Parts: sequence; C-alpha cells; structure tokens
Amino acid sequence: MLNVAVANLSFAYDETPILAGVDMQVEAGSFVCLLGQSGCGKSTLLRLLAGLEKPSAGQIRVEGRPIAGPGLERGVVFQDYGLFPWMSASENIAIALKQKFKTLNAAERRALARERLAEVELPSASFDKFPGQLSGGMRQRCAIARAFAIDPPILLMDEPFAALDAVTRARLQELVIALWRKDARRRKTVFFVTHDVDEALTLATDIYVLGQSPGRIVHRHSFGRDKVLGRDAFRGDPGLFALRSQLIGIINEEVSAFRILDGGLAREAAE
Amino acid sequence: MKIAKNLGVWLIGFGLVGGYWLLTDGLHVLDPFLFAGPSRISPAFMKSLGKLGEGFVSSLALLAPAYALAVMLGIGFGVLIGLAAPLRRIVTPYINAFSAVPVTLLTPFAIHIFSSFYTASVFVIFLGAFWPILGSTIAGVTTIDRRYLESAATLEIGGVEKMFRVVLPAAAPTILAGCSIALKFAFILLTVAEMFGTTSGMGYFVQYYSDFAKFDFVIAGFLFMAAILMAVMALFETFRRRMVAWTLNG
Ligand SMILES: Nc1ncnc2c1ncn2[C@@H]1O[C@H](COP(=O)(O)OP(=O)(O)O)[C@@H](O)[C@H]1O
Ligand SMILES: [Mg+2]
Repeated sequence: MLNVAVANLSFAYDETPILAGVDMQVEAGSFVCLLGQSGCGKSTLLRLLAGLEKPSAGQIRVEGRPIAGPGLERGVVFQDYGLFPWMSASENIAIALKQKFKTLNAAERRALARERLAEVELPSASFDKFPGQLSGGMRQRCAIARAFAIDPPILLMDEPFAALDAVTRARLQELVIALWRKDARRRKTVFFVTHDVDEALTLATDIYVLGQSPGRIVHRHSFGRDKVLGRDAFRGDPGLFALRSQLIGIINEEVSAFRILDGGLAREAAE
Repeated sequence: MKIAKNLGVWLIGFGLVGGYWLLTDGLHVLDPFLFAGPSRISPAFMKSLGKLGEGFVSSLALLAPAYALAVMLGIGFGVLIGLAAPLRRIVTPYINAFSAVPVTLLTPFAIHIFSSFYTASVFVIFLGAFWPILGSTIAGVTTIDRRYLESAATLEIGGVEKMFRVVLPAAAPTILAGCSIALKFAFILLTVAEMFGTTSGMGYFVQYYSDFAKFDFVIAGFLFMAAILMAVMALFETFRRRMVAWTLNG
C-alpha cells in the first residue's frame, strides 16, 4: 500500500541499452501488469524495482523515498528458483517469517508457516517436502505464500505462472487476486510481469506495455477502481475484447519492427 | 534392491580374493616373496589383530584432530575466499602454488617447526586434507546460483543466517565431494605421518613390516586399513546423503 514513481529510468548491460526513459506513476494499491514480448526488458525492470540492479539513469521512488537495494518492503516472486531447494516448503516460509517478525519464536514460526501454506491450499502432506518434490503449481503456491507471509506493501512478480498449465495458471490467478483483495485498506501495490495479454487483462487494474530495444513504455491503460478481476473480467466488461485486440496489435507492431537475430532482436535495417 | 546391491559388493570381493588366491597359492604365478598368498596372510592377520586394533586407536588420535581442523579451516577460509571476489583474485595463484607442493616434501620442515613429532604428524595429515576441502569450498561457493543469493537479499537474509542457511547448504554438494576426497588423502598420509611421528598406528604397522620385508604382514595391514577406510567412507556417505537429500539424487 505504497505508491511507486519510476522517473526517466534507464538501464544498460555493459554498453547495450536495455531500458530507456521508463516513466510510471503507480498509485498505492494498484495491480500493475507489465506486458511485453520476451526479451523486451520486463524482468530487468522488475529487478530494478526489487533493487537487485542499479539504474544507469533515473530513479525509482517509493512514497517519495528513492529505493536503496532489495528489502522486505518489496516482496518478490520469481518464475522459479525463488524458493530455497534445500529447505522444506514450511521452512521456506518460516525463514521469511523470521526475517520479518523478529519476536516470534521457532515454534510460533513453524505454526504460522503451516497456516500460511494451508491458506494457499497446499496439501498438508507437502508441507515438509522439498521444493524439488513438489509440482510446479505447488511450488508457486508456496512462493506466493512466502511473499504474502511477510506482508510487503509492494509485491513484485516475474511471470510466476508462465511455466504452468492453463488450468493451474487460472487457479493461481484467482488465488493471487483473493489474497490481494483480502485487506482492502492495506492493499498491496503489485507489479506483475507477463507476456500473456489475457493474463494482464484478467489481473490488472493498470497495464503498461513495454516496447523493444531498448525497452520503454509504449502504451498505458488504466481501468477504473471497479474493474472486475479474475475469471469474470471479460464478462464484467465486454469492452475488454476490443482492448485485447488493441494490445495485441501494439505488441505485434513492436515485434514486426524487429527481426529475430541469433535469438535476439535487432531493428530492421530498412527502417 | 538393497540385497541385490550388497550382493554385487560381496561378489566382487570374493572374485578379488579368489583371483588373488589363484595367482598366489593356487597357481604360483606371482613372486611369493612379495605377493604372500592368503595361506600366509590369514595367520599374519589373525596374529596382528590385537596390534592393528591398538594401531587403529592411535591412528585415530592423529586422523581425527587433523581432519576436523582441515574441515573447519578449509570450509571457513573457502567461504571467505569464495564470497570475496577481490580476495579470491589475490590469493588464488598462491593457493595453486602451495597446493601443488607434495605434503611429504614438507615433513622435515614440519618436524623442525613443530615442537613435537605428534603435532608435526597432525600437521602433515591436516595439510593434505586441507587443500581439497579449501578448493572444493571455493568452487562450491563461487558457483552458487546467483538467484538464490538474490532471493536471500530480497528477504534481507544476511550475516550468520545467510552463511548457514543459504551459502553453506547451496554449496554443500561440492564441499562434501571435497571432504570425501580429503578423507581418502588423510588415510594415505597416515602412513607418511606415522613414519616419524609415532611408534604405533596402522600406517606405522605397514611401514614397520615393510622395512623388514615381511610382506605377509604388510598386506595384512593394508587389508585392515582398507576395511577401516571402507567403514569410514560408508559412514561418511550416509552423512553426506542426509545433508544433500534435497538434491534428490539418491
Ligand atoms: N545478465 C545479463 N547480461 C546481459 N544482457 C542481459 C542480461 N540479462 C538480460 N539481458 C538482456 O536484456 C534484455 C532484457 O531481458 P529481460 O529483462 O530478461 O527480458 P524479459 O523479461 O522481458 O524477457 C534481453 O535482450 C536480454 O538478452
Ligand atoms: Mg523475463
């Protein structure tokens, strides 16, 4: 429940510009989807928001304060590799709880960890299993449980469901929305990266479309406060179909301005 | 499954003993002066069992502190050097240089520097075990997937907590591989260390009879050491598997 301002943000790996002049004004409690083709710099933008990378220019401010490195104020859910594979599901939650709630003792942390895992409907038989013994969907449930367990005002998610089957993905989308909605007064500000237009339309209160090489915001759409989220999003707003075509059009335009080159993208010489 | 696995171990064992018997007692292919047959080794073994038992205890008094020290310092310095890239750049050439010096070459220096033969012996075994543990720890720490360290950073896990709950577990598979090699080195060096350091021990036993060219006793001693090493390694393997159960490599 904190506002985030991204101002003229640029980032380069070595000499290659990845992001250039990204501006975003995100109201506290928004559910922002960062939408764009693979390789356009979505993960990089999220890593900058997480404080895992330093911008080469520009700034990210949370409630006016520039961010200084990663921290508990901004929870992160990665596509994979977020959980520690040498800890059981519940130990993964417990260590996060230990960081956030210093006064809890070990037994309280263990109990609370199991409560959090039950909340995301992880079967209790899986609580003491290693992440490697869980299905992809269960792993991500666990990762979501960990992110919500530390109750960060800002939540960053990098294509958390991209590797999941359609049914599991839909169920986890509902889960995230339910958790996000739970406490309306302290709603988390979410940045959710996806390359899937339908996922963005399902989840977002605000959509930012990133263009390619270098990554920059090429389109923004803000839904009203009363946007229907989740499964019923399309039923709630028939206009969403038109928006869907429009967004796909914008992304395709960005893609066709480039040709694939050795697995990367390069601007057409003709342009 | 377990029976089938152990069956293979026994079959190979019997095959080796049988083959050796054929080459010696059976068909007299090998020179009997050097290669004592089972008919001579068995009585030598039985006669020496008491001495070898005592030797085991006295060897343990050298091995245990030396190996424990190597594990502590090897992992300690390894983590330090592995995590600090600038330090690593500075010390790597010297680690390479010193780890290439044969430990046996250092014994006269060790005896001179350390006040007692016992300490010198411990030092020799320690040094042999230290390098592989240090090397594997540095390798294990530097190859930790960056994403785990980033996950830790976003949870503000630092200091001792990061060391023991993130860095060491993540590097454990590699570190433990190094510890296993170091354990075997320690046994090899036992023979060297006990040459000057003690008047008992498994290594001393072997060296003693070797000097008198009583190879039936030498081989009996080797067999005893081999059996101990097999037991120790089996114990170590059980421990290792428990530590890295999460890799699911069985
Ligand atoms: N560590 C890195 N070093 C150099 N280039 C990188 C690195 N990580 C990502 N890139 C490049 O940055 C661009 C954006 O990557 P990324 O942010 O991961 O895109 P997305 O998440 O949208 O697929 C890509 O062209 C990628 O090749
Ligand atoms: Mg990405």
